[in-house]
Amino acid sequence: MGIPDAPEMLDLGDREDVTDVYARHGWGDGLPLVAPTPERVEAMLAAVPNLDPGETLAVLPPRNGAATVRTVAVNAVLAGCEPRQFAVLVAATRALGDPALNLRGVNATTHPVAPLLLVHGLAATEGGFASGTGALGPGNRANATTGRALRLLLLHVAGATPGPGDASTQGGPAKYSYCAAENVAESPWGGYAASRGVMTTSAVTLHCGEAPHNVHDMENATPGRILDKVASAMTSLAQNNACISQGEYFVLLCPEHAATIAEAGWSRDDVSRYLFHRARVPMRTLREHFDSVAWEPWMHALTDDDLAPMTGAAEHIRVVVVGGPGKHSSVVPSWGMTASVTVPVPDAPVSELPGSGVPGADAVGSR
Amino acid sequence: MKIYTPCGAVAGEVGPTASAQHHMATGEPLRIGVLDNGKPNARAVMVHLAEALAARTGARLALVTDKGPGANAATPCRDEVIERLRQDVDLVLVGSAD
Repeated sequence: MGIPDAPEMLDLGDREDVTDVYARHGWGDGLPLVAPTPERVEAMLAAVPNLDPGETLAVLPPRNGAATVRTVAVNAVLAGCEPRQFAVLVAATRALGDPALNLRGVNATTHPVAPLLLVHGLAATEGGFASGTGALGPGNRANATTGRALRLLLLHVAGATPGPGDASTQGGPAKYSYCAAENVAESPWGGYAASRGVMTTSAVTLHCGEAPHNVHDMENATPGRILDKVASAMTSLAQNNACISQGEYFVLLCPEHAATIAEAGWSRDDVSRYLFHRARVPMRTLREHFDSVAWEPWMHALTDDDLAPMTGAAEHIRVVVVGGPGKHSSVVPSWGMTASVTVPVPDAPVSELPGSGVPGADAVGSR
Repeated sequence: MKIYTPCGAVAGEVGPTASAQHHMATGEPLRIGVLDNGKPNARAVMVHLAEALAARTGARLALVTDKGPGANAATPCRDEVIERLRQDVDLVLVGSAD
């Protein structure tokens, strides 16, 4: 893009701590940081030998900072990433720059939105990402630090600092780190990225959404009963999708719920279609609760007695398997005016799995 | 020990537009624009601010516009609106929050 890669250097005294020095400049996320020495940054860059360190992966608003490969490496070091996670962060940075994601809006809004980073395929295995028990929680370095590095990029390069660059009224814990791997080994429907047409062996998805809404179901053995509970989590009037109408949902099914549903013969698309028809509220209720809406014309045309879907199409309801044993799934409603993006991880070869055949060179916006 | 700073370069240039520089250099009244971002009462608040600013500085309120067809508070302004603002005003008040 012709933008100079010019990260400046600082002198860190023998008795100075990088976290303190950074804090004086208004940098960091409040947690201890790893000093980004040239040696550490070079080690990170060595993980992507085919990329030019000066290449701009994305320009990130509102600051319009140039996220070069080197600048991304600096923030990866700061977050505590290992080099084996760096390619995932590079791919996620590219996804941040996709216009469909609407990063300017994501960073500007008063809503507590954060980008959920999902890692698919070999990059998850080789990077040490957790996909099983507690995948969305603490305890795994790859998940914790890569999610954190993405947030540091938003703080530093995008300028999404609370107040001038991020207007979120309350913020949210997902803004520290929000990353998990897909549990493809226990997905009865294969990998999510392939379902989006990204046929590389490794990929990442960014979905800008709320923190997960829990779905507890230990009682039911039929898809409809389980998914009715999912639908109930999707119909909260307190989420942005209620006043937007075209926002996405990520339904993160635990392996046991997914297995029960698939054993009954349901496909991934069947799940989306069922939820599209079941996650509805009376239009009268929506009209009673919202004065300011971003509804599409078809929604305005509904009568008060119609049941309004929470999103415009079944395909806006994305189904991914995440987690370990137990019967808790979750719903991640989007901020609303954003679309998820799935991109290949650099250097990931085109999959030789049966059924692939679509080169994975391009990002796939959700719509 | 040397360490990197984390922010990197800013893409593009930041500063007054050519028309704003012209008005500042010639002493002609600067032109204020209001870009209504669609939030409740945003237009009323910003027009009031623009008029107060004009009264204090000698500038004038030259344009009040929304973001263009189909755009709302959460989506980008249409290119044609940006171009009109670029042509017709020197300073833009760009929106309010909730």
